[in-house]
Amino acid sequence: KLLGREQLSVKFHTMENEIIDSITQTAQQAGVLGVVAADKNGLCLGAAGNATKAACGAITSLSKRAQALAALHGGGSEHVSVCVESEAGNIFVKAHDQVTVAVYRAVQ
Amino acid sequence: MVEITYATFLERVIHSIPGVSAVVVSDRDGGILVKAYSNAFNTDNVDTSLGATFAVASEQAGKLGLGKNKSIINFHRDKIIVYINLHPIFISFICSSDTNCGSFTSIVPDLQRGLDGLSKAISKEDDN
Repeated sequence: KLLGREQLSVKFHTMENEIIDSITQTAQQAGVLGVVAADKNGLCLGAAGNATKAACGAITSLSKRAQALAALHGGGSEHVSVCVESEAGNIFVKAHDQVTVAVYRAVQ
Repeated sequence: MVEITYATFLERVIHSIPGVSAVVVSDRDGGILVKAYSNAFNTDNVDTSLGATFAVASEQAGKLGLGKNKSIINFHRDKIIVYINLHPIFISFICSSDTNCGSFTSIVPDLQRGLDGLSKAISKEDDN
């Protein structure tokens, strides 16, 4: 017991709490099968649901290629998103600053 | 089926991942078994210390209580060096600083298959 009361559960603040919470919340939304986030080197920051950590390299590479393509065509490379459509579902990839996020959604 | 040399196989690996300048396959003592470089790479700094240092570091990392060490990624000022432990052989990738490190995870099975013959030959030498 702590100070006469029931012991409280304490959540220690660690550096990855915010991103893990964001990934978890996004993965819980309706229609979302999985979420994965990668850093600028293609290394996994966090994953939830059906999204696999092994996809981080490909996701980062896709995003970088899309940004390069957009820059080639004269558009800005900051607000570029990629949508991968397949029979099993869609994957939406977006990079912001140095983090790339991919959201796996079921086909509606 | 077309047979290719290990050096040719490593050259294909270099071309498959943007940013990779050199690939060196070494044994646990650092002895270079096979190597492949891109055209612009300066080979002066590549010697047996590259593989030997990683082999020791990988062995020590395997004692941290998390099981056998699989890979180590070193971020330097201008380069990234990715080491992959496929005991009894060790593979070192020398890459540019903007290389996609996540893509190395997906090529490990291909590396194992492609270098399987070399790995078995080294194992036989170690047994003898």
